Amino acid sequence: MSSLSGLPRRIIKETEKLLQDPVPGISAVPHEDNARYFNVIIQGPDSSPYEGGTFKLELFLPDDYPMAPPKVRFLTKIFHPNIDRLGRICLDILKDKWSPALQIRTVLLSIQALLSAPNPDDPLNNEAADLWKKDERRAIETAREYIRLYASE
Amino acid sequence: MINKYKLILTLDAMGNSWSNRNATSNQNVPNGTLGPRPPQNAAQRNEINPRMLFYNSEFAWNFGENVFEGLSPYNSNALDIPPPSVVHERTVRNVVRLSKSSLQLVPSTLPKCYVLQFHFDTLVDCGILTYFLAKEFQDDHLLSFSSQCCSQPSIQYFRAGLGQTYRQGEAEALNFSKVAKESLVYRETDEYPVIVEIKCNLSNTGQAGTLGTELSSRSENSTNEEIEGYYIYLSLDKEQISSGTFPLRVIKQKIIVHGVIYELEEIYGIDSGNTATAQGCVSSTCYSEDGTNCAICLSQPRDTALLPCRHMCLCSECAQRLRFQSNSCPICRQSVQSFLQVKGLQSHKNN
Repeated sequence: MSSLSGLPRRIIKETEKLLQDPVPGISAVPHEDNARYFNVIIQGPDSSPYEGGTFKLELFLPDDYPMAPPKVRFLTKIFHPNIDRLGRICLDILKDKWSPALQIRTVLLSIQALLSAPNPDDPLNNEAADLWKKDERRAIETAREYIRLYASE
Repeated sequence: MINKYKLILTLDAMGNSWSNRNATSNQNVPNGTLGPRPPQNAAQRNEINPRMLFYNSEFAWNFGENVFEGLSPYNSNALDIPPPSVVHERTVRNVVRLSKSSLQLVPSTLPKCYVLQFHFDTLVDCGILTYFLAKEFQDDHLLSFSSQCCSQPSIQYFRAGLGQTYRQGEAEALNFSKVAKESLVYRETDEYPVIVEIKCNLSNTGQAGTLGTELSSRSENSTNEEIEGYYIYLSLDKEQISSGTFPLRVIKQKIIVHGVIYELEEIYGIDSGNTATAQGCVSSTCYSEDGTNCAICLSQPRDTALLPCRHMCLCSECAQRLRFQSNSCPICRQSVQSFLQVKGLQSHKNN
């Protein structure tokens, strides 16, 4: 963390808290060369279609953070109605519902919750959303198949 | 000691229409007195924001040499908006403090009958009355109450002093075999289960009686910015009905200063991370996580509340930044009309 000096106090505080007191099932570690870039790992929540999966994400804090939301993206391929092929996430708090009172911690918790509650009525991945609506059992099977292929350690 | 009992008075209730309407008259008000009276007509009052007073829940707030500033938000996207104005707020001295947790109905000497009891401190001689199941009437600048079930209550007088206890007269006890306990739960109607009226300015009421001589000497020293009347509206909690004790919850509070009636509004998050009072606030966890620090920088102590939502969640520095970058409260996303910075809060917390 060589670039720590120019970093806002808020980001330092959030990072310290994330490392000292991590959220269960979530790890977020800042990159050695860029303290605004985090390598994130989220465990698929229990009793969700993503149980047992280990998902890698990248999180970046833009210059105007916390006035602007962090940029978050799945690196691991995932079959989810609100996450597209490029890993982009459809989540209101990452867009218009962002508030500077939210934090890295709360954002990652929201993403974990999105895994527990896929919302096919607000789709970003139409293929997944259509299957979710037509045949939820097969959609969940597909999600599990993706985990076997891409999200198992 | 006297400094401990102060309230913040926001003179022009922050609504734009209100500010504009009174812009000229406010300037004519000499410093150290209160602003013009709000319109007395109820219809007029509804179309503008009500005047509000802000306080912290325990009233033990030492401001010292304080100045309050209300800053209007400034939206950089709309350049035709005039630059933000700075409004200096004045304080009102509160002379009566009620212990909210001590408010309860206790058994009277008669079976099944209960009387109101609470502890309080007062800096002036005062008179206290309790109304059960009463409706409120407002004429000119006076509040009056009429009870559906009980006769006009009698006033009890108290001298200035700390740690006093009010206990309602036995003759006014509420009989639970005649009045259902459920009726003491507030149902959002114009009938309030319990109203406590505290008259703090006895010289005006003509009821001072034997206390009269002392009162006249007091009024020479006192400023005009003192509370004349204090009204507390109470309700029983639904969950408490079956239990044997009857603590009461505050629904709202009003005070009269200089003949003007104000409703007291609590600032959420002003008490060092204690947010039990922030009812219905979706993201109250935002407070607890970082104690008393600003929700944006997480490092400076909070000293700025947003209006009208009354979330005290920012330090003054971040409030300045927020003014130029966003229009909504970080806690509830309600749009911000103005900022209320409370100077002197910090020195109190350090004590």
